[in-house]
Amino acid sequence: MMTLLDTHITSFAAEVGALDAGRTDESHQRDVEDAMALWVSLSDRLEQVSARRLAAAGGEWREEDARSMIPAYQRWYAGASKTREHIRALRERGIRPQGMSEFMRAFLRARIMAVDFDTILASLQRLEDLDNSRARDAG
Amino acid sequence: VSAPFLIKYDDAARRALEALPAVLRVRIERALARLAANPVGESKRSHGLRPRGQLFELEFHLDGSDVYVDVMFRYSQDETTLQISNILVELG
Repeated sequence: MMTLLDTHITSFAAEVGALDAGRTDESHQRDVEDAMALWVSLSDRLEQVSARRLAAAGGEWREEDARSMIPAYQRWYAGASKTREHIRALRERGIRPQGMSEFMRAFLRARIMAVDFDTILASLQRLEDLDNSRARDAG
Repeated sequence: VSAPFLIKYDDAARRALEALPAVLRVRIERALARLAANPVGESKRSHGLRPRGQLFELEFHLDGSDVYVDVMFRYSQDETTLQISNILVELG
């Protein structure tokens, strides 16, 4: 079921997708900065939903709860990636939009869930298994 | 002063690091040495429903680009080693 937040992410991604990255007028920078700030706000809401689900499970991390959030993060990530194209266009003109750090931090947070979730999970599991195996051998 | 932690890379993290240009790799390795000296102060627990681990966030400027890095790691059971699971890099 689509939540209101999902709907906002989807419709905002469509609006950002309709922007012309080739614009060079002054309002382009303002539009990009607005888009970045809005993506950060939507990311904050996703973080709150995520924290709420974790709290509902008594603070216990469960893979199925985490996986249930992946589609929303993927929608966010796909939409925010379109904004990055506009950021690159500005950077090529020597303009560094305001709010870069906040936006890119949110982008990496989303990437962990949207793109790299399985890789990270497998990698952490490998390390844990190796550690357990060494501890058993040492004992 | 306590001894720094050792650093061990999982294959995924090693591959990510080795795929980077040398100048970038060196900067990240220097930052990881800083992390090894003070992992409690330099990192935080991963938030929300992200896979459980420690997260080290790094940000620096290099050759006209902003570089944003997330390093995921866990402590070894004997608390001597930082086991780096993944390194994610984005240029802003």
